[in-house]
Amino acid sequence: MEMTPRENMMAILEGRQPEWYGDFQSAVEIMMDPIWKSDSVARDGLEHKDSWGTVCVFPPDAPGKHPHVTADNAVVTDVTKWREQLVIPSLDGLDWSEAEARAASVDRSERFVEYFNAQGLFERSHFLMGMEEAFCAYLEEPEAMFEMLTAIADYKKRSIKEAARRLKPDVIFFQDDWGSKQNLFLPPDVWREMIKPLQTEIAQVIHECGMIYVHHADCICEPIVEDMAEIGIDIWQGVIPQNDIVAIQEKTGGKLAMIGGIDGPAIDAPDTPEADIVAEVHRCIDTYCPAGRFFPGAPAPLLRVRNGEILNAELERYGRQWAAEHPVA
Amino acid sequence: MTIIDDISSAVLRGKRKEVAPLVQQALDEGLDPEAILNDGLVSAMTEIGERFSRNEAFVPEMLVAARAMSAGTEVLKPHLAEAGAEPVGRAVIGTVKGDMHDIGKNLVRMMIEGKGFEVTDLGVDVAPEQFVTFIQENDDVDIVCCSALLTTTMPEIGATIRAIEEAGLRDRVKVMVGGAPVTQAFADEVGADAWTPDAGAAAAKAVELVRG
Repeated sequence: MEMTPRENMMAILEGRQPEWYGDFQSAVEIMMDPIWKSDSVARDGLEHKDSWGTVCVFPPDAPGKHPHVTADNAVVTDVTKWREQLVIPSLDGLDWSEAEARAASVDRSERFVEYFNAQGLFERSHFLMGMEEAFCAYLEEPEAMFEMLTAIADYKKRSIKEAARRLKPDVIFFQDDWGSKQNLFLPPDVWREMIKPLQTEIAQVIHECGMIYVHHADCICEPIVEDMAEIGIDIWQGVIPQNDIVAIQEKTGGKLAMIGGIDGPAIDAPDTPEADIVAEVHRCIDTYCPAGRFFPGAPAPLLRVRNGEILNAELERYGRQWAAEHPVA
Repeated sequence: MTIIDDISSAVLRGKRKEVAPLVQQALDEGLDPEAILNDGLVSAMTEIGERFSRNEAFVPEMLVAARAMSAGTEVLKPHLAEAGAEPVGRAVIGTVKGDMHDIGKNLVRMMIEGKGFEVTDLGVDVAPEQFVTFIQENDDVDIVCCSALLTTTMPEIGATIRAIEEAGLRDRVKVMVGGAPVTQAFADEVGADAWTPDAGAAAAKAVELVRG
C-alpha cells in the first residue's frame, strides 16, 4: 500500500525510505486561524493596518503583504519608549470556531494540520519600527530592543499555546526571515544575543505543545545553522541555494532537516524554458537529497503559474524516480 | 592616531555621537574640510562598503556607519559650501513600479551618499514617468538607480529605461540596476549601464561612471 503524504514526509524527516522526495509543505493543511486573519490585509495595493498597528500593503501581483513603515506611521518611533508606544494585541475574544472546524475535518493519517505563525521576533521588530530604525536600534539600544523582543516573544508563546489548545496542530510554520539573499541581516553575534535565547524559549513551547517546528526563512542563514539546530528547529523551510546547502548538511550532521534548494527566481521568468525548470529540479534533488532529511522544493512559491506547474510536475516525477533509484541504506 | 583616523574609526564603528564633535575638533584645528570629508568620512564608508561586499559587515553596521557619516557631514556642510566644494555627482534612486521593497534601495542610497553624491530618493513603487519627470526637471542628474526585488516587477526596470529613451534623455544619464533577482545578463538585456551585486559595489561603480 502506498504511503500517505504524511507518512512519506515523516519517513524523510526520520531518515527512513520514502516513496518520493518532495516538499514537506505539500502534505500540510494550513489553518486560517483568527490571529493570522487579524494580521492579514486585503490584496488590493492599498494601505491597511495589521493588528499591531503596522501599515501594510499587499499589491495584487505580489506574493504577500509588505510593511510600509514611514517616519509618520511607525508604531514604535523610539525603542526606549516602546512600553508607551506599543499595544500588544489581545488574544481574548477571538473566534476560533472556523479554524477548529477546519482542523477537525483534516484526515490526519493523510495530512498534517499546520498552524501558521507569521512575523517572528525579528520581522515584528522591523514591522513596528521600519527596517532602518530597527536595525540601528539593535546596535544602538540593545537593552531596550531586547526588552521589546521579550514582550513579543511572550505574545508568541501565548499564541502558540492557544493555537495548540484550539487546533492541536501537528506542525507549526513559524515565519521569521532573518536575512536576505546575500547574508544574515543582523551580525551573527547580535542575532545570538538578541534573538536566539528568545527563539529557544519559543521552540520549547512549540515542542511542549507537541508540534514539529518548521521555521521559514527564505534567505541566507548559513552563519547560524548550528544555532538553529541547537534552538530545536526541526525543519528549516525556505533554504535558498545561495547557502552552501551541502556544507550545511555536513556541518549540522543531519540535525537540521531542510525544505527548499530550488533557485526560484532563476526559473521564474515568463520565457524560462521548460527544460531549464526541469534541470533545476534535477540539480536540487541530485545535489541535496543524498545527505538525507531533505525536502526538495521552491523556498518561496514561484510567482508565475506556468513555471510553478512545471516545477511541481517534475518534482513529483523525478522525486519519485530518485527515491526508487536511491534506497536509504 | 590622527584626528582623521579618529573620525574614520568612529564612522566605522557607527558612533554618530562621537563623529560630530570630532569633525568640529578637526575644523577647529584648521584641517581642510574636503580632507576631513574624503580622508575621514568617505574613506570609512568605502571601507565598510568593501567589508559588506566581502560579507564581513552586515546591514545594520552599514546603516549606523552611514548615519555616523551623515552626522559628520552636517557639521562640514557650511564649510564645504564656503570652500565651493561640489558633490561627486548627482543621482536619483527608486524601487520600480509595483514593488514596495526598499531596504536594498535605501542601502544603495546611503552608500552612494557616502561617496559624496547628492542623492534624491523617489521611494518605492516609482512609475517610469516619475523617473522621466525628475530627469527632465533636474538637468544635472548623472545617474539613475532602479531596483526590483520581485521577478514580477523586474520588467519595470526595462520599462523605466525605455521611458527614459523615449523621452530623449538616455544620453544624459547613466542607469544602474539592482535587486535580488537582477543579474548582469538582465542588465545587459534591458540596456542598463551597470549592475552590481551589492550596495558597496554600487557606490564604487557610481563613482566610476561619473568619472568615466
